[in-house]
Amino acid sequence: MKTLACARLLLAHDRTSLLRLLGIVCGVAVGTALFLTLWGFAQGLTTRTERATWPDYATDGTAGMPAGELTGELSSDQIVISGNSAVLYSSLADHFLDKRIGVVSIAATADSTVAVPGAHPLPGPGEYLASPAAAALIAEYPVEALGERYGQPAGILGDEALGSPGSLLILRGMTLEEIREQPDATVVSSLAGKAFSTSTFRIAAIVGSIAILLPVLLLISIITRLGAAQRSETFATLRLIGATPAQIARLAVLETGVTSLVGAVLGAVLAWAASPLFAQIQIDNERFFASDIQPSLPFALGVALLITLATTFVAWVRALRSQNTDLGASRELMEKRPGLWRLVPVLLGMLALVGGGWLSSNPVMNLGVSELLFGALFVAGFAAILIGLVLAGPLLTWWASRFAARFSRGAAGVIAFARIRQHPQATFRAVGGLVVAVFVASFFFAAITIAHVEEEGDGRDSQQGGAESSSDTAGASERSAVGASPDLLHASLSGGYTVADMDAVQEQLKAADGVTGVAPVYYHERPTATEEGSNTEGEASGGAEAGPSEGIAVLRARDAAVLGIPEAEVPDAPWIELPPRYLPSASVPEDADPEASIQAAQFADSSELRPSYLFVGYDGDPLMRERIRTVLLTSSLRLAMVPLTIAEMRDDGATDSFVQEYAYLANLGVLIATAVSGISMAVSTVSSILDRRRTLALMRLAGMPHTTLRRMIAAETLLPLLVVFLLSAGLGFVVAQLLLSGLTAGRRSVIFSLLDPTYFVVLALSLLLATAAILATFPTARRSTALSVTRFE
Amino acid sequence: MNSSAPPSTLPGIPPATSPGATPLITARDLHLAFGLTEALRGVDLTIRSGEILAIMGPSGSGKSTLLHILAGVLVPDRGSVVYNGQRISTMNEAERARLRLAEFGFVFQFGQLLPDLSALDNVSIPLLLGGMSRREALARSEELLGSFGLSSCKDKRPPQLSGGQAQRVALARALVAGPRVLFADEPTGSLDSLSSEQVMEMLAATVRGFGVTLVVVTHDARTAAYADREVIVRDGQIRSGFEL
Amino acid sequence: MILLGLLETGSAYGYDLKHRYDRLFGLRKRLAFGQIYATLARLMRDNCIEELAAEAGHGPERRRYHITDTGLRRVESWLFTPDIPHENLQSNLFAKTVIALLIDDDAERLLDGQRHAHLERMRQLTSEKRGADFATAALCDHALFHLEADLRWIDLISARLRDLRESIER
Repeated sequence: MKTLACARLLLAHDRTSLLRLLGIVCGVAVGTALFLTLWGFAQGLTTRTERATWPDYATDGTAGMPAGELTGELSSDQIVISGNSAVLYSSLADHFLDKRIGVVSIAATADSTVAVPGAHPLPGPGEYLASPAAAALIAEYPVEALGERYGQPAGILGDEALGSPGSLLILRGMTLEEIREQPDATVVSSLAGKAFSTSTFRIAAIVGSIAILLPVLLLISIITRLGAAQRSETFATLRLIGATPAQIARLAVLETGVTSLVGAVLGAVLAWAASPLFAQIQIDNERFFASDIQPSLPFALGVALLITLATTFVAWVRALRSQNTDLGASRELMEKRPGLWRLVPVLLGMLALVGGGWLSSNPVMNLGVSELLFGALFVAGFAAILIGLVLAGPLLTWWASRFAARFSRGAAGVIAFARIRQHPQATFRAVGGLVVAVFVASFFFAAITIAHVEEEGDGRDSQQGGAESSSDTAGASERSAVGASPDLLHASLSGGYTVADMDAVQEQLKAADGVTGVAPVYYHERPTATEEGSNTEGEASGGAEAGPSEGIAVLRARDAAVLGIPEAEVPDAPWIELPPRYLPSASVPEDADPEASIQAAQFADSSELRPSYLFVGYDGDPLMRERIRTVLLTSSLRLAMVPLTIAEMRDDGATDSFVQEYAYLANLGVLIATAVSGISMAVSTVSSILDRRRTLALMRLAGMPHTTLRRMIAAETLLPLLVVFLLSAGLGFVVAQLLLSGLTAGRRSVIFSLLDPTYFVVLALSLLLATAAILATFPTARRSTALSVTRFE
Repeated sequence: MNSSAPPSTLPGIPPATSPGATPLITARDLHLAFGLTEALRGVDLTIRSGEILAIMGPSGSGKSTLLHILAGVLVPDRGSVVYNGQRISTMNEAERARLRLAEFGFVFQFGQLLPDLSALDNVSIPLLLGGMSRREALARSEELLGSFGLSSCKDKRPPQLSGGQAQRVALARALVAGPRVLFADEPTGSLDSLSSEQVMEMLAATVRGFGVTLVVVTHDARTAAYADREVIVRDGQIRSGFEL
Repeated sequence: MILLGLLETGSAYGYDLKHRYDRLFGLRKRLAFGQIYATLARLMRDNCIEELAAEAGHGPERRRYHITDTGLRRVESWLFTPDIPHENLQSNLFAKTVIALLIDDDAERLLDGQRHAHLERMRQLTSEKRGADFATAALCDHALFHLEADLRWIDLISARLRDLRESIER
């Protein structure tokens, strides 16, 4: 057989068939491009985090030695570094208007050999290098608002130090003496960022990527089956006439191979070319360097080739395995009953997850190898479960319809379930994409619930992107709205000041431009228990220590006006206690009484008072605030932290968590997986409708009252669908639980009470879509004998 | 009447031999079950070279199944089919396919013409599968269609043909590779009286002229009347005791 | 022959026979008593039936008849000899089918036999048609269609045999 000639004749002979082939090419192109783009983003996220976090891991206390321990001179292969890039923890960053600026300080010898990313040459004391975006920001505003904070501009920080083109980062030079005063100053010899703080997160990221990428592969495989029914009719006729299975397989391979190759290569080139455009998309408020997400052309083409090989291989296997069981049109193509082997991959995957979990709590060998092993088990297990879900689908559908048939009442139900029982593969194919989406959604939503636990432990407000219980935020803002104005600047002080010092500072600051009032607040430690909630201010003031005994915040009565406390509420005493509701912390204790009256402060001697922080009032203009902040930063005041407004502190607290960041990404992941699966389902629905075009047309001819019949069937088919969906949702929860407890060695688990209501909306929507898809493929008319008379269309 | 004389030349067919007593296809004790349903429950049949045999019976009796087994399309669970000395019931799929291509032709009731291809292309398919070049295959097909009086139809698609024309095109396709046996399943099933007659006339005359054996499954008596003899299949067994 | 067949099912009185005949076959016209007596007399003469207990002084309707071996053989050969195929033989065929069922004989076989005979005839007609002139062909086709109608009927009866048996035995 001249394969090419036959293929051209049989599969590409007229406009309709060519259109079909074109459709497959386009579909595969889109699928491949989507795959490579998502892959690019996943890569980009890790690459940019790895690149940007070089200062953070140097100063977090795990590298080098604290600068305080340095004896003697600094050698040329060492530098002292302090500060933070603001990538991981925005509360440690400098603030300007609504932006966060990372500030890193270094001190080095003149002939330093330490390689600092993006800094050639290193800034000297009093100088600074700014990232391009930071330099632009500084230039835009008066120097006393921003530029003065850092010193003399000495150049631009190179891209190797930055995560994204829009990163705001300042690298300033200091003398050894200056930098030693920073609490986080560390002596290091080399600098490197990390993509993940722990292997746990790396594993979680890989699992998340798989959960998003596999639905795309599923989409591609569904696309290649476009018009499969027509093809199988053609193949059946050929087989009858005497085409060998090998000949049929050759035709199938040629068709799938050529279309897949053209489509995949097209998609690969598209992804490669469009990535600079996609780099402009902001994830986590930052865009990307094009080189971070752009796949290399060889890699992209390699993926295209792999996809082609996979789809062609599947087509080849399908063609060889198809049985010649159709006897003309009097009997339909009978499907084989789904075998039990279909359950194997899912079970193996679960086994791998359990094994990984056990391994992570009981490391049997050294930590590195053990981590590698259980990481591999988790990843492989998850992938096996996801793939296994698609494989086991027909079997589950078959069981579900058998189970449901026992409860069916009407004739339509009996028909429907018999239908599903006869064609479990066709039924599942229509909704497979959505089942995967439900699994992924359940998995992600369940995994996210631990984010709520994380921040409760930190005592911060729960405000993560996406999944939300809005009642919490409203309550919190209500409570703090009772207190001090959110615009009030709050400057934490390092230790060593006295009351007299503070009085002097207060006079100096009040003279500064734009300052309307300064209120120093002191910490008074008391040996006995005091009013409710007084221990919270120990945490809230950041730099001040929270001692084992309780203390209260104290300030002069005459300064109370700065905080906005009405004069009528101020008792007649020189010093007053600051009620909890005026504390700068966004997390006000539950039992704080909004109506509690202000007490006079009782203490023996002013030496018992420790200066803790300053409140600085101004006219409310943001630029004025920045000027004042600059004044504070460049003054000789020893600050524990960058001065922040109460509002800024609240916002910072909300985004400071690795888990939160991943929760945000997980929501993104659910969106993508559901969208992709939705597209898969739409494609397979359209494909099924095309397959059934002849039957559906004949249905209309026969005058079947399809509306009523369909309504009945709809009600009945919901049941097996619901069962399969519930099973896959349940599996998603179980897998999330296994993974979470495995990765955290049993410390964490899924909390169902915190499940976001959005999840149930997703579930309901998927169920509806799936029902519609199944109905569209229901060939109920095939049984009608009238049709046997009609020949073609 | 539109039917024309049977073709004078049929490529690949040896000169006519009279229907002799030599058995061509021998089937013994055929059993086949689909799932729990037994379609054939012990069928013995001998088909002689050159004869026309009608297989009749009510719907669901298993006659189509029998035809498929005789033609090597299905493999029986038990029993044997011997064609021209070769035991085809034990051959694998590929071997049976090759046999079908070389020796058998098929005229079935439904969808056996590919609806998107022209009549000419449809007829050429068996030749292409056998490795012939497209040019030569088209030439032979055109010749055959012409001898059937279907030249005017050669570029039309099956949906554009009348029932009778379509079946005659199907007949041409079945004969184009020069088969020894023709298997027909309800060839007149969807046709009216006149078209049925034309198709059967052409079919019978053609196969008789060239010594091609014809096995036709039908429930229509007037179609079966063109055969030399009939067997009745009922409940998976042959019930007629009137074999010659 | 029908009466003889009825007698095979068991010996009966004359009036019994009439009633049974009318019930089974009298849809078109009933059998007159005179006809029954004449037929019974003829059967007696042919040695197909015999009287059981002759009650003197009564007519044939009060006499009890019983089938002989000769009679049995005649019924068999009647049942299983196919009729010459021509139109309007339904009544005959129907009668044969009913009797066969009543005596628990192989009704299927008799229908098969008739079918075969019909098909043979149709084959002959089809050959005759080939190359014939318009009138002859039309005549053949006419006969063919009627024979086909018979065959349709035979197929239907064949399929309904079970129902038929039940209705007779009620």
